[in-house]
Amino acid sequence: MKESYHLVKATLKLGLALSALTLWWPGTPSMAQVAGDDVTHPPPVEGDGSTATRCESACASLSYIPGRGLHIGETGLVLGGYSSIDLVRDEGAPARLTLANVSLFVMFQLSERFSFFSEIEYENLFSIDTNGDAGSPDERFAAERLYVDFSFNDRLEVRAGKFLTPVGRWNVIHAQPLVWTTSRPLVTEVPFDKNTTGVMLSGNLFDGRLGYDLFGQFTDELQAAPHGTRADRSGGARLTLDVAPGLSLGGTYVGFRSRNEWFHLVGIDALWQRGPLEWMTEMTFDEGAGASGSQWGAYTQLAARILPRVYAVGRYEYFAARGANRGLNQVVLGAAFRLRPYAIFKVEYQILDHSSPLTSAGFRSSFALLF
Amino acid sequence: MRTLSFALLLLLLGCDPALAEPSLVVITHPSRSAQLSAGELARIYLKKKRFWKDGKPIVPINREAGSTIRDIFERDIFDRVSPDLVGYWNRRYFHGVFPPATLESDEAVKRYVASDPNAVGYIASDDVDDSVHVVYTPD
Repeated sequence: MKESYHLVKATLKLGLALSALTLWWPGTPSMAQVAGDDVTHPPPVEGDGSTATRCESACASLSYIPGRGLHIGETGLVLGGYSSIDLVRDEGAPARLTLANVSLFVMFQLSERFSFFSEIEYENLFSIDTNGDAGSPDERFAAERLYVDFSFNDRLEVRAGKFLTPVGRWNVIHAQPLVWTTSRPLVTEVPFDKNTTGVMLSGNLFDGRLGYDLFGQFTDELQAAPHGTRADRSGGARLTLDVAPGLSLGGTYVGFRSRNEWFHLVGIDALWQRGPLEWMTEMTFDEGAGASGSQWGAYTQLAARILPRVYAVGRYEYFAARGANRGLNQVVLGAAFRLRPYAIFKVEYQILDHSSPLTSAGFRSSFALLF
Repeated sequence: MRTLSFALLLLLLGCDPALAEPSLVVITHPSRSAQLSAGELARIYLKKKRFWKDGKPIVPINREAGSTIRDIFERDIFDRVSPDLVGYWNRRYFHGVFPPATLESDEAVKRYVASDPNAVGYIASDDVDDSVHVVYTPD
């Protein structure tokens, strides 16, 4: 327990230090400038347009690239992560400011084919509202992801450990710096377990146009989340097809056992990106084999760049939860400001057609950055 | 009069692509002679295709963001430019995948590609010599 406490503190300090470093980072020579033209070994990874710098330590040269992590020499070890601060004011409730997330990535490219990835997440570290209530009642420290990958070739990669369940698109990119809204569509988190502890086979076929994932959980989940759907055992498959430049379609099936009942979920999704526009949609339907009944939902979201760093975002979602008297209609309207390639500030307002225990109407804002 | 002259100069530059933009070619080590398509290059530079057919890892080399030749390459291969790809690379970083490495001159790219049988890069067509093999030329 004491060791966990120290690990939490160390993770938090490292995450906050890298966040602060990312925010403060001045313009410095790029990695390529540091490397120069004397190319006799593989050149260093570089952030896409981000600035970088190097310093020499006793063990190895360290290079930090905002939004692309701290690279430890040529060891293949990279430390990175993300953090976010949320400001939420639900209708009829006080405004609440929350240090919502500090996640630390540890990435280790052991060889050309073998890699390790972990995400240690510390959620809801601290919050304070306009009534003066402060604290961290929902704080949680967990291994969000912990897995090894082995790539045989482009057609087959094997992943073992705890990973994000590949249902739709949002769940596998759910981090605040990567999505356009602070709120999350219900259909991307309520119907299924967001993590799987098991094995996944992935790959690309037909010249890369068809991607597949086959995954299963055959043991209890590692550090399962306290809320939401929990799967004891599961098996599923996902296909994605690039049908045209910028347009990708996907389909997922997952069978999972939760509280001794098997459920079957099917989903379809699409992503279209063209110039300043991005459109994303997902739909899922799931049904229990027992008496639980079914539920389904869908959302469609459009983000459009209206100024060089400013995006307008709109989303509509319908979600008919299992056992609910009627479906919930939600509309989210907002804007996202990409302050830097690795930092984003978002504001939005969520409107519901009736109250629901699943989500609330109101104002949401967040600042998030990759480090 | 000066404004008119400047406008005429711009017009002339705009009318002659050779003056406005260098032509580029994609190069590999001479040991790799197979041609690559624009679609394959897009997947290589997005790190969706990571291995050559012989199973060796592909090492794509970019020019620095904002350089003219990179803009030309990205427009030709992706039909979009670096700022549009920021979101894509942020999402890949979340899964431990990094953008291709960059070098800041054609000479550096050529020397690196000539030294690494698994590398692929792009340079101005005028800079090609026998040390590398051209695998793609835009239309």
